[in-house]
Formats: sequence, C-alpha cells, structure tokens
Amino acid sequence: MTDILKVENVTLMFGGVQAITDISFNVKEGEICAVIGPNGAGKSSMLNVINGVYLPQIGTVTYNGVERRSINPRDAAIAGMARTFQNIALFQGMTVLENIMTGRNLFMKSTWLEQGLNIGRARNEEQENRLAVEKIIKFLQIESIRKTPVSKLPYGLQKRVELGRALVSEPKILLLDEPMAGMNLEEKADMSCFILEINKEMGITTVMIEHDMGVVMDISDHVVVLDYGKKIGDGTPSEVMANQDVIDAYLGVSH
Amino acid sequence: MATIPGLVLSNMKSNPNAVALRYKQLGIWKTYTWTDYLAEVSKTLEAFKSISIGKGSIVGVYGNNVPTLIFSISAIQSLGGIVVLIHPESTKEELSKILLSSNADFLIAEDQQQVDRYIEVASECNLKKVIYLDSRGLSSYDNSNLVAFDDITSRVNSSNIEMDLNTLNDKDTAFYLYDEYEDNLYKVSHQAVINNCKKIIELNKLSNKDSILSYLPLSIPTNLLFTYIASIVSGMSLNLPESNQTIEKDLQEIGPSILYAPSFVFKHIITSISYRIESASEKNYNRYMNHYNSLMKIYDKEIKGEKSIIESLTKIWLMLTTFNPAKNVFGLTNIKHAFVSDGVLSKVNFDFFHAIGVEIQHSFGQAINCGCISVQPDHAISSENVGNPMKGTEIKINNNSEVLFKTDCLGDPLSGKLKTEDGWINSGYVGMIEESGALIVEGRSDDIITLKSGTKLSPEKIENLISCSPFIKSSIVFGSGQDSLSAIVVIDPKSVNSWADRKNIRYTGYTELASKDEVRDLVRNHIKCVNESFDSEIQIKRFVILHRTFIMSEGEVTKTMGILRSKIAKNLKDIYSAIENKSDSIIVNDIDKLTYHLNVNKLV
Repeated sequence: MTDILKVENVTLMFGGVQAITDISFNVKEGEICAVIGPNGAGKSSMLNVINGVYLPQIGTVTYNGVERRSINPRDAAIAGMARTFQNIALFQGMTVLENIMTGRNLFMKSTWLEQGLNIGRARNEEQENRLAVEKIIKFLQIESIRKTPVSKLPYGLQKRVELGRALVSEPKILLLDEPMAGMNLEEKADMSCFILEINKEMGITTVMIEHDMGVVMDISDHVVVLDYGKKIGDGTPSEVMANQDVIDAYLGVSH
Repeated sequence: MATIPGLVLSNMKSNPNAVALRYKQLGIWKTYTWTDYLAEVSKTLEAFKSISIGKGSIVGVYGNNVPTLIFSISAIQSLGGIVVLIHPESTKEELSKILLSSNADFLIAEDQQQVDRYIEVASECNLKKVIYLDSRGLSSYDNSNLVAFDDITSRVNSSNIEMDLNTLNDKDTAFYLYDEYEDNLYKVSHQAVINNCKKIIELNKLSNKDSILSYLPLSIPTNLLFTYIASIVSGMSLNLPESNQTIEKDLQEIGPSILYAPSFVFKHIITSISYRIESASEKNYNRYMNHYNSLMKIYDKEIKGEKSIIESLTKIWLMLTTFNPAKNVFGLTNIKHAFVSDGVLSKVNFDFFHAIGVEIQHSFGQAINCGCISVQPDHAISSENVGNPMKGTEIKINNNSEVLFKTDCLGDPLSGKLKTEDGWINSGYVGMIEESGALIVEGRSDDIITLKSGTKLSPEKIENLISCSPFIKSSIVFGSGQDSLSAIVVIDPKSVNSWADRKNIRYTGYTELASKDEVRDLVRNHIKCVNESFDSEIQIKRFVILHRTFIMSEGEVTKTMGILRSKIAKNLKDIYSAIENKSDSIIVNDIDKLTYHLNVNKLV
C-alpha cells in the first residue's frame, strides 16, 4: 500500500511556544491511523497542519504525492480532505439536512442568483446534492432527525451529523478530531462501527485523534503517539502498547 | 379461484395506474402502481427461479417491510412456494425453531443483522441459499450459501407471470404463520386467508380508494391480514414507513384512511400526547386539560343520545381549536377505521379516541384462524369486548371459561394436533360472551392466577388498568398460591423523564430514575386508584418498580408487547421468590450479569 500522507520533520511554533517538534509519520492508503497523546500533546495542531489551517515553520506535508508546506483549507477540501472538529462546529439553528448539505458546497457550481430563484442548473444541482446527502443520512441512520434543528439534538447525534457533513464531500482522507469525546458506551459503539464501515466499505483513509484507548486499540491499524509536541511512539496498536515511553507518558514515571 | 399473486394480477388488469405501494426511500416517497408492482414481482420471480425456488419450496422471509420483501412474497407464491414470515427481531432460538420446524429451503434476509443471526444458527438448519437484500457490511463475509439479491436479479429479465399463475390452486398453502404464545407454525391456504380478509373488507366497506400504513413486520399474523392481504384483496394502497424511527413522521405525511396496530401502539400515541402536553407551558397545559374534560363530558352525553345543540357546537369548536391539530400531528386526520388487535384499549383511551373521531375497532384473532375471528363494528361504544364473530365463524365459552370457536378460514398446525372439544377449537384464551353476542377476551388460559383462597382471576385486566397510566409502560401481575397479588411495574422512560425534569428530580439514567422515591409515589398513587375498582381480595398489595424495561430480544415480551410470563418469571426469579418470602428488599442478579437492589413497596 502506498502512503497517501507523509508528514516530514514538521515543527510548529506559536510565538515562543513549540506546539509540535520535528514530527514525521506516514499514513498508508486505506488505513485507520490514530493519533493519541495526553492533553496538550499537539494532536489537534497536527490535524490543523495537515489540512492547512496552520502553517508549520519547518517541515513538509506530502499528500497524494504532492509535497507542500502550506495549503489553503479550501484547496485541501478540493483535494479530498474532510474533517470534523473537537468542539462541534455545526450551524446550530439549521436542520440536520441543511447542515450536511453545506458539506456539498464544493459540488455547487451555480450562482447565488440561480440558487435564489431555483432556476437553470441550480435545480438539478439541488436534486443531485440532496440525493448524495440522503445516502449519507441513511448510512448514518439519522432519517428520523433529518428536519430537526441541530441545537435540539443530544451531543452524540451532533457528532454524527458532523461526520455526515464531512462524508458528503466525498473525501479520500477523513480527519476526525476526537469523534467519541463525551459519548456514552452505546454511542461510542455506534460511532466505532461507522468509522470502521467508512474505512472498509467506502475505502476512505481515516486519521483520528482519540482519547479512548479501548476504541483506539480495537479499530485502528496504526497508532502515532505524541507527548509535549514530540513523537514518542509509532506502530501497530500492539507495538505501541508495549512501548515503554508510551507507558511512561500515560501512567507517569516515579522520581 | 383466487390466489394472492392472482389478485395482484387482477388488480393490475382492473386498475393498472392506481397506487399499490408507497415507500419512502432516501427521503422521498416512491410510488409503485399495480403495473409496477406486477413488473417487480415478475422480475423477482425470474431471479428466484434462477436459484431453483419452485413448487413446494419453503422460503423464510426475514425482515422489516421493505418493497423487495413485499414483492418476494408474491414471487415465491407465484412459483408455488410457501412463505414463512419471520420477525426481524426474532431471537436466535426462535429463528432456528421456525427454520427447522418449517423445514425451510431458502431464506431471504433483509440486512446484516438478519444474516448474522442466521449464521449463528446456520449449522442447525439445512438451507440451500440465503439471499440478502442490503449488502452493507457483508462484503467480507465468506459463506458460499450467501447470495446478494441484486446479483441474482441483474442476470434475469422479466417474464410473463400468467404462465406461472395458471399452475396455482387456491387450496395451496400460502403461508406458514408463527404463533409466539403457542410456539407453533400454522399452515394457511390462499383461500382461507383471502376469504377471511374479504369478510373484514365487506363488513367495513373498505375499497381501493383507501390507504393503509403497515407499521409492523408482516410476520405478525393480524398485521399480515389487515395490511398486506387487505391491500391486495381490496386494491387499496399499502404504505411502508422509511424506518422504525420515522413512523410518526411517515404517518403524518401519508394520513392513511385505515390504521391497524396492536393495542400497545395506540397506548404509545396516548403517551406521546400526554408527554407533549406535560411539557407544554402552564397556560397551554391548563387550556388543553379544560378542553379535554369538556370533550369527554360531551362524548358521554353523545353516546347516551343526550347531546344538545349547544354541546354539538362546543364540540365543533373544541375539535377545531385543539383536537384536529392534535390528530393532524399524529396522522389521524383521515382515519375511518382503526383496527386494534392483541389486547384492548382501556376505557379512558378508547373513549378519547372515539371522542376525537378515531373509530377504534377491537378485534381478536390468531395465526390459526388467519388473524381474525371477531371484530367490533363501526361506532362501537364498549371498550371491553372485541366484537361479534365474523360471518362463517361461531364462538362459545366452555365450562372453564375458555373461548372456543369454529371458522371456515382455519389454519393447520405444523406440529402437534389442534386442541378441540366436540368439533370446537380451543383458542387458548379465557373470556365471556356479552348479551349482544360480543366476545370479551380476559387473557390466556395458561396465565390464570389461583390465589391461596382458591379465587381464580386473569391478571390481564388488572395489568391493562395499571398500564393505562402514561407513566407506566407495562406491568405484570402475579401471585399464584399466595394470599394476595403483587405487581412488577415498568415505567415509561419518555414520559417519566419529562415529568422528573419538571419536578427538578436529578437522575443519571433509567435505573436511578426508577429507584427514586418520587417515582415510587407516582406509581403507588396510580395503583391505589386501580385497586379501588377491585374487591379487596384481588387488589395489588405489593409492587416493585423494575430497574429496566422488559426485553423483546430476551423473549420476555412478544413482538406485539404481550407479556411472556414464563420467561419473565425465569429471568426475574429473584423478585418472585423475594415477594413469596415477604422480604422488603430484593437483590436481583439480572441477565446482564449485574446485581441490582430493588425495594418492595407495600399498599395497605
């Protein structure tokens, strides 16, 4: 399997704070890669570097064979990167359907005037995009809340809607920032199933940040461990579990 | 000679462009006319022929109501096969029992959930092929028996179905129907099931202008008769919901003219109404309650024939301002007939539905009598009975109060013999017959409780009254061989949650909520009210609020939420023995392998 994503010697600084220090890792096409680490380890910053929100001071990211230091997040989306956020970033007043529809923005070529008057290509586009959205709604089993405003939904379902919005953009790689944070056991089990299915059935490579070790070890093919902005482990779940540095980072070291 | 697929063909000939089936797919209602319907059946039939389904094949149809499964039923029967309908939530044991005793050759499964359950029992059953409809999640399965429905249909062209139908006879077996209480399958012929359905259609003047929503899987015999068969026999349109979670919304969008559901569904509608009213502002709550009380007073006079002109006008006003909008929310606006089976509604709920113009008609039937032997007429006013026997049916009560019947639409048990007395068939239920000739069903004869004093009673009547509170989902009354009756009560999570939120009661989940003192008092007050309608001897003296609901997948309730007592008694034996020993607290080792502490609450 080829590497779809290569992160090479990336260093990211906010003023004097070094968030990420010289990190390199590769993500193979079709795998589920988990990025783990304690709070403040630089995991979310790493995702932000990958999809172009942050510009690293040193190092490069190679995605789909194209090496670059910076990329506009919109270009990253056009290139097939979709993501979800740690703190839900949905339009709270809009319905589930409308929120997921925003994920199809890249596929809409008609002007605002055509859309406003529902004429010309806007009409066909609307139907095509609605169909794509409905397929994802069915996949995520959220038919019953299709027309419910997002603000009325419990947290676990909002996370699912956010995943839906990322999925409708037909990504090649999916970046998930703590998809299971704040969920109960049942919701975690559902979300794990969806992530596995997205990976196996749709063939989408997934990079996810997650704190729940049980979930990480169960569903990921590859784990990267960060601590204080440095990489301390990289390998299969069992390799990482046996890594002394990782154990120390999680359980602490006696002094 | 009419067979089920034969009627599909004649519907196509007489009414080719009328709507036969509606199904919501990807958010949009898709319509099949009778012409489309027949074309789908013909195509499915060819696909089934290609995998050697033919005369005498016994085919399990396992899933929810999706169009492909609906078309499959007619396709299998057109080929001379027999359809065994299996509930999508059937347990492993039930599935294996049905497949083994029906001697099934093929299984058509809806999706991964059903395929997984089949794989668990695959070694016990000798199936030739399992056809699955939805391939999601199944791509990595390595089982040579599994074949995708799309794969077999892509290889065939539609054929002329009439050729196949010519070889059919109306006396051929159409279905094997499963009865959960009897744990047995019954053979029913095309003729029996069609004739039985014709009686209902004639009695209620149903026509091809009507439409009906099929809520529940067709494996429930009454549901099969009132929805699927009724649509084919009368030519009316059958509507299928998008998923189990969207039923309320789908019902509202379709607004069918006929509704069929087991009693628990109607109870659920009442609970939903009271849940919404409970969560309304105080002003709206008071307004609704005032309107409700006035409406019920007017209805009381209406059935006595004493309604004045002013009251008629008041009712119109109440309907316009409050109850028509409420009916619309639940999709009940166009309902002409609402058939209820598997239990009766309590008087309060029955009267309420009639007062708002939803004509509830209780019915009684089982797999053995093709789903129905008695049904209430239009404008029924008694909430207790299940109607008079239908044409061609006779009902009587024996000395043990058991309900016996004779019918010309009879099924044949696949294993064992019919329980008969002088040519009458024992239904397994106890009851009585009113002066008007209407049947009252009190409960299953196996469930009769004999108290220490020798008093016999059927617990279902008491359970019905307990469960009529919107805060109580279900209950089970027991006490055979004891001084007094006891009850296990299951609270309704939705309405009790909203009640607790309003009362500022803090809780983390269902188990904690069920253990709250305030909830106990709520239940206690309701049971006290119920007790007032009975003699002291048959009042509930102890009750326990269960830490969970009854679980269908554990076989504790039937698919229509009927109580399966022996299984509950086994799973919750700690509660039964603690109450027998008159303990005040119970340690329950439950089926989830966890331990729960429950209190026994006494009523003086």
